[in-house]
Amino acid sequence: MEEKDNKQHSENSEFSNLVSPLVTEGQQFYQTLNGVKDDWHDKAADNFRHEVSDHLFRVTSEYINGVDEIEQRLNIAVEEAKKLTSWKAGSGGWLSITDIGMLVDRGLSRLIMKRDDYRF
Amino acid sequence: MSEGAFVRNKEVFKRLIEAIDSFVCRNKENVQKVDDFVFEKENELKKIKELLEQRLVEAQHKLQSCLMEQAICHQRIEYDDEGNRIKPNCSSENNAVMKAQRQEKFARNALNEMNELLRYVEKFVREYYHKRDNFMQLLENKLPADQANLNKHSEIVQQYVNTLIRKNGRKRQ
Repeated sequence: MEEKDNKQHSENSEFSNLVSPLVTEGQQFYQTLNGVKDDWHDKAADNFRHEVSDHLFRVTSEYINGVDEIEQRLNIAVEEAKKLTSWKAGSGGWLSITDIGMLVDRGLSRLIMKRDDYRF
Repeated sequence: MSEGAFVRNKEVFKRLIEAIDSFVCRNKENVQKVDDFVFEKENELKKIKELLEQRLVEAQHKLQSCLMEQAICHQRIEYDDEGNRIKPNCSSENNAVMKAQRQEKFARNALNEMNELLRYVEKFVREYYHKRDNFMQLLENKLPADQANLNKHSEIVQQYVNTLIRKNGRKRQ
């Protein structure tokens, strides 16, 4: 189990320390669900699969993307704020707020949990 | 059990319940780490804003002081070598005022920029908390309800298995 955890953590090393454990938990959860897919077939199983596959996946993915976004945005915001503490700040040569907005929005909203990989 | 029900392994419910338990428990810890990160960054930004406010106050004090020195200079009475009254030379005081005005303007601009940046951050944090609330709703309400349903199914399957065992036992007798 620990070996499996480590393998998944290393596969998710492209993500930050905040995002990676969330992705790993999601992957492990869906792997467990996949592992039992042939063991239970009835109406209740269909309902459960629907709930878990759709609702849980959507909310979890939105949250993980939200974490990815807030982490990047706050890191950029702090970097920009630190620039404002320079004695030259406010003289007109610093980054404009429009640029900050563009920077903060850059590279966001990537879908981290790939739906088809973890279909239950 | 309902018509068409099929459970190959009754342990399936136990595994699913455990998977949900682990998912909920570990993700609550993960959410806490993210909350700590957001709190830490917001604090860092708050401290930078306080520094910029302090700089503006200092720049304003400096400007006031320079303006006072300039006013005192202009009130000075000076005479040339021939005893004629002349305008006092206040170029250094004037320069000091210009420099202080520039510094005050820079400090004010920097604080305005910081406030604008904080408005972005507030919006971003609000967006994050909306997603966090949905996720916590899932962890604290939705998944425990799913677990309760799985428990119910597990009990039904167990009852069904017990009934089968009893029936088989009677047949053997």
